[in-house]
Amino acid sequence: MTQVAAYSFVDKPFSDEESLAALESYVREWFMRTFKELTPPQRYSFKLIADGHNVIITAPTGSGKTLAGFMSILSELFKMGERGQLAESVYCIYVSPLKALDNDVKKNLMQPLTEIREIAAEMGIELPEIKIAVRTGDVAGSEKQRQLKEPPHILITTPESLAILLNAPKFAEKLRTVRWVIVDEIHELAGSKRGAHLSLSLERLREAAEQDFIRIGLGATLHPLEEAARFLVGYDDAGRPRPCKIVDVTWYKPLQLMVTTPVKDIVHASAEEINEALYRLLDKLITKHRTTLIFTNTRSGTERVVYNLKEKWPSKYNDATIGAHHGSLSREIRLDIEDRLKRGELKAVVCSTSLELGIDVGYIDLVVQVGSPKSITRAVQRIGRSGHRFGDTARGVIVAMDRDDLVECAVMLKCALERRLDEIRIPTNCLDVLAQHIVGMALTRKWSVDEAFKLVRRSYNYRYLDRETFISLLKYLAGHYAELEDRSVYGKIWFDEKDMMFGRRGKYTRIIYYLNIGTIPDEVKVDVYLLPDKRYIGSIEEEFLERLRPGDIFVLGGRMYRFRYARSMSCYVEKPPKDSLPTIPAWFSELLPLSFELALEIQDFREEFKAMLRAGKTKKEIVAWLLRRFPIERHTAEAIHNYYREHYRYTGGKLPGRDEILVEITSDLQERRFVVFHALYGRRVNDALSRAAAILASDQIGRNVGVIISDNGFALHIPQDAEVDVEKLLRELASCDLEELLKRNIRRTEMMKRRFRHCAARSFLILRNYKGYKISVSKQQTNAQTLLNVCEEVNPNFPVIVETYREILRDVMDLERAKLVQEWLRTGKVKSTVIATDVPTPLAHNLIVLGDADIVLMEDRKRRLLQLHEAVMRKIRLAARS
Amino acid sequence: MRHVLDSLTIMGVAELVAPYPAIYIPEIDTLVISDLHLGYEGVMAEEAGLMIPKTQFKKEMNALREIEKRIKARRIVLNGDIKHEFSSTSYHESREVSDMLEYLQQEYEEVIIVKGNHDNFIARITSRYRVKLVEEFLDGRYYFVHGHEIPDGFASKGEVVIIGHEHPAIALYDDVGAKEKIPCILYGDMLDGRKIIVLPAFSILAQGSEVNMIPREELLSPILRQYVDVDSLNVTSVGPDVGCVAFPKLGLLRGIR
Repeated sequence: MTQVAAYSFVDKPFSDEESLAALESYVREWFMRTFKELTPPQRYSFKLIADGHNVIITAPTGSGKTLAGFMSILSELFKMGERGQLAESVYCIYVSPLKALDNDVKKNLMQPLTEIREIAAEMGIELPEIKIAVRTGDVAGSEKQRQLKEPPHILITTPESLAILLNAPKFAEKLRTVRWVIVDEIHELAGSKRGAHLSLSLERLREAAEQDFIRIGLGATLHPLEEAARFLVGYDDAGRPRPCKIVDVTWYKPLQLMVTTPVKDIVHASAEEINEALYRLLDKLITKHRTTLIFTNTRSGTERVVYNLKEKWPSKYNDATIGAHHGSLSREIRLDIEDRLKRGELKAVVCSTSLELGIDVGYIDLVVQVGSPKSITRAVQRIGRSGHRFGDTARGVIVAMDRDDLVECAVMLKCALERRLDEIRIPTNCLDVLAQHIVGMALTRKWSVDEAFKLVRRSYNYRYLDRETFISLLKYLAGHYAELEDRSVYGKIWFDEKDMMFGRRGKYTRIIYYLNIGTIPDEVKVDVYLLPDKRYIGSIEEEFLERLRPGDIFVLGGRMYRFRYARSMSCYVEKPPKDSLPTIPAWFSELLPLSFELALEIQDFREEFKAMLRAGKTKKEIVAWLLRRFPIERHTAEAIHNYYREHYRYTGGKLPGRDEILVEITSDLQERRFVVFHALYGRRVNDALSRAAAILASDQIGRNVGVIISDNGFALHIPQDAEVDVEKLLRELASCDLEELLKRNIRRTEMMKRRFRHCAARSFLILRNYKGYKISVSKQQTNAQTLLNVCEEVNPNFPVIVETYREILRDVMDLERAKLVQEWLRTGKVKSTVIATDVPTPLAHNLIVLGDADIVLMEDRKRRLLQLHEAVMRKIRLAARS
Repeated sequence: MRHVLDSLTIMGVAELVAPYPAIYIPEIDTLVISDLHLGYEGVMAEEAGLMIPKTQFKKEMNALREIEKRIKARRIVLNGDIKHEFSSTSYHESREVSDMLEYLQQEYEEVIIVKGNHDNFIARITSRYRVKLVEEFLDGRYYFVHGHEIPDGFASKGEVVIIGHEHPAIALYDDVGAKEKIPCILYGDMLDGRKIIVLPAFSILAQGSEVNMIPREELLSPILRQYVDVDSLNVTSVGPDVGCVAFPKLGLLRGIR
């Protein structure tokens, strides 16, 4: 029996005649008067959407994607209007991850909406107005009231606001008529919990709507597309995938790319010299172009760049010519910068990641990325912000800040030019997200467990959820973990286990749902006060505080402070002596991971490089080869060459290439001891391998073990007086049941605490907003460790704990690929070599300076305490002697 | 190892009921615990939206039963902060406090509650039981106060002062930077020659002060700030999950990295 594939690629565009024939005459007329021709995505979309297909379209920015999605819908809406079939109700919902994009889309649709009516009037056709409205968290209550009275035909919103709308008692009525849903920037949503959240909203919307609606997904770059299609359309009640047409015109835009470094000699230059040179380089690039967009990856980086450019060249860079844009800035400031950018008034805009997504940024002729963007897809996406006009070339410069960055970016840009993307991974069975929706569903009506379960399983993210887990979640939400008489406080739903029905409960539940919905975690902030007068100076993360020892010097808001002491959620610091240096590195807990695919590409690159060194090729020959192969400059090529040659020479030829893990036992200048694993598999795989290795090492020596993790490898930080049998460790690492080992021991890591707090907030166990008040963390008083302990005591299979494990093992770590590497180690495909060095190798050096990312605690707390006690006594004896 | 203790005699006047944060004073046949913070989870849930399950009450009750099996005392003193919420008495608190008092009045001839800063409105509950609610309590040379303020005539009362309030703990760091926070009992001489015992919290949830990190002038208890050189106090870890380990004097634990 042949089965019709649910997802089919549409390879051939329709002719312009066919496409335009799909539109009503006045719409067609407007389009032809306004544009010279159809853009590539439009040649597919007009007809496909008019014919009623679900469709996913990937195309670069500036390719008329928005109209590609909307044109046929506008046409159909006007036709309905012409026939008097248009009711005061919502027909089309557009969802994007960004409020700014929502505002933009509305603005861009106003023109066709007005002009088409005018053209129709010329043709003697009276068309009613198509109403359009934006509904996001920024929209005032009065506007929402107005929308209820005059419902828009096209509703523009975000995933969070959509989930709230589904529970707005009167407005939800207006959603029954929905016929189209557009999901924009689908590449940004699909791989995250936010996407899982949206997918459930869509199924709930389906339940509320009279009919199956047409789903349209838009995105810039995405791979593999079938996976994105699954996410967009989900399944029907019989478990069959809903059909979807796939249109890929992603690679339409020509790219011009270059990797560079601020200084020629990136190794021997001091941090200051590198920074100075970075600003000079940025100035040069900005001056040579009309409008430059700069990405820095972090908010503090954005602030630093803008501050320094203004400081150094005040006549050139001031408030009139340059601006900062990131999520911590107020909405007014962001909007102002966006508007001036669009109008071409700014020479440069510096942003963290915030302008990555599709708001119209106007004319930009250069994108500069400071530091590695970590993924090919992201690099392409960001660089694609330049050359906004249809047919323009996108120009991008990546400024690598160290030598690993350099190699990574060179290989990344080569992949980008060869049109190879890294894979998207869609999270499944996220229980915290599901918990929010169950509460939302319970608020609307009574449900039988079966029908609710059926609805949930229509989402691709929950396709394989089992019923038992679903019920455990219902029990949790009903507060069954609390005593009967406390359930009015703890329970957010009512759940009858005998009749298998659930529904709403509690007078605050609706407010809890409205005010705590969403998936982006609030980091727990600890307030920092400067002694002696205890002036507030800013905040740090709870986990960062845990790492601070009295006397440690760290940077906050560009200034250095010395840590004195902490008291619950407050941290007290003092000014350090002049010329102090930070003793604890700025610690970014959530750096973007390098993709596995790209990591393997870099392995191949190293392999080729090693072969050339082995063959005795000269510097000149190798540099020439690099320049031929990669979009880099001469001094960049030389830096890469020097880096690898140094390591090669120092280790007597042990540059880890393809399928090689080099293990290096070494100490740094402070005589801290490390076992470094040069394992180039990307951070997500190393997240798993490193924790496993640390657990095994901790068990072997009976001590705590620090873990440093990067994309290029990981290191175990071993107590000075302990001795690890590395060969044994390697054997165990290769042969252990990785999943079991991690599951059993992940409790011993700091990551567990941090992630637990996030999951607890998403599952409504910790409310950020309660009874209408924003709750300060200091009021919640309890640290993540205590919370976790208490929940675990009550029930080790508490859904919030289960979700934390799932998130760590499936989303944070790439367990599947880590197991693959393990298998390669077992079968001998991957070989490991152990060396010992007095001074870390060049490759190890870059890793060690990152500082510990996590600590794996030894299992027995009492023994841990005794060891601490011993250490204390030793230190006191030492101090007494000197 | 001699630092690991099965029992601890405190300055010849009291015994630690190891590993529980409770002491027994033979001379007056009295058991002392402090800072129970009953109703903690309920208050957190109602006031702060922290919906953690309730475990503390059961644990505290179990510990009390264990203690009772080992030490048959005539009297028990609860040295302040029986309950958690300052401003009023929540439903959760009154239930837990009532249940506990019910138990205590059965097991002990005399139950004395010294009021702490969290114990406003507690009289509404205690009045229903055979317990004595006081601001401070003096029996022979033993003087019990919670420690959040200095009562009138403080300087002239008792020879051994017993306080709670501070929830003392020490913070220690290992070679690789892991931090461990360990609840402790503190004891030693006061500046005026009397002796002092600072009890750790009986509560498993209330946060403690890291007394080896916090400067003397920043400690919570004015008694510790004004009447004691805290650095001269002895430190012993207390708690079922850490055991009972004698550490050097607090001053030596300062600045250890």
